[in-house]
Amino acid sequence: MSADSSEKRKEGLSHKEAGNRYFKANEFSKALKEYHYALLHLRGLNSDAMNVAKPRDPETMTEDEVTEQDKELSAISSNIAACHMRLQRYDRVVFCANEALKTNPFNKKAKFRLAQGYVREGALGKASKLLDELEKDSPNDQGFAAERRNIELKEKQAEEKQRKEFAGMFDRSK
Amino acid sequence: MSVKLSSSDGREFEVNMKVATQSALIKNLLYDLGETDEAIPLPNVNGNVLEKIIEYCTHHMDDPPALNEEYDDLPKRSDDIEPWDEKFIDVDQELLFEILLASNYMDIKPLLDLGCKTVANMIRNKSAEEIRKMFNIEEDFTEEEKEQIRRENEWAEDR
Repeated sequence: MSADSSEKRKEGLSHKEAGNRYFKANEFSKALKEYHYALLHLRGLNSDAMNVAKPRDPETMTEDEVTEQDKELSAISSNIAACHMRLQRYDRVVFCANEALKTNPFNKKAKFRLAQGYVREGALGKASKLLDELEKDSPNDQGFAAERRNIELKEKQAEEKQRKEFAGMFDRSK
Repeated sequence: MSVKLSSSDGREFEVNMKVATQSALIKNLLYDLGETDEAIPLPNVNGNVLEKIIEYCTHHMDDPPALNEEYDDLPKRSDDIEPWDEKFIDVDQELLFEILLASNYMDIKPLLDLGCKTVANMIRNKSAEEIRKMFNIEEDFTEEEKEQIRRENEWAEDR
């Protein structure tokens, strides 16, 4: 790596750390900015024209095709998703967690964030599929269990609502 | 509505929002951070290249959004370059590669495609030796390997 790009890397990592500090202090908008600036510095390092043209398909990628650089970038996108989670912008949670998974399809944190986003956006089927995958490796995770309960709750609410609607329909027909 | 971008060598460019947001990297950032007076740093693109990129994005700023690739099952081809694009990308090889890297970094899909197609067209109908020369690739086959490759590909040669 050239001196120039190791300088950029340093700067990128310091933005990332600043982001982590703001996140811990519950200052999510400030953390967002730092994470985005980290991406501005860390993306595109170590790339040459030849590997840019190489197609990447997250579907068929194997775990050892994921580079350290990919992992780093994916972690930052996943942190961005975490900020949105706390800011309750769930469509962005889904978008950014997906971005993180495009860069590293094996990022479990990002997978969990995506599941959390899906639950809140009402995509319950997609969410439980992701939780199925995650639970294979850690069957007793508290966070996963909590999202399972959220899914159940949402399903119950939907059922309830539907029942009321039907009830209303029959009332009118009396 | 405009956005400021600053290149690795500290040059600042003020561009229309529609120009800047063709870069998915910038679009995403602006979406989360909102409008800002602060210039967005692009430490991996130098001023000359950024100028070229802005020229491209300005020309294409009113293009309809690209087809979603996930649904786009048309075969990829490299002979469908628009005349303006062809002229735009007719640059020396070093700049071409820098544009390729920058469009990957800034995540500008149509420009990345254009760059890749151009490289594909450069390679087409060239011998291995010519391609090696073009891209400064060192020949690292042994004589035996070369002989084997020749044998394996004999059937494809025109005689």
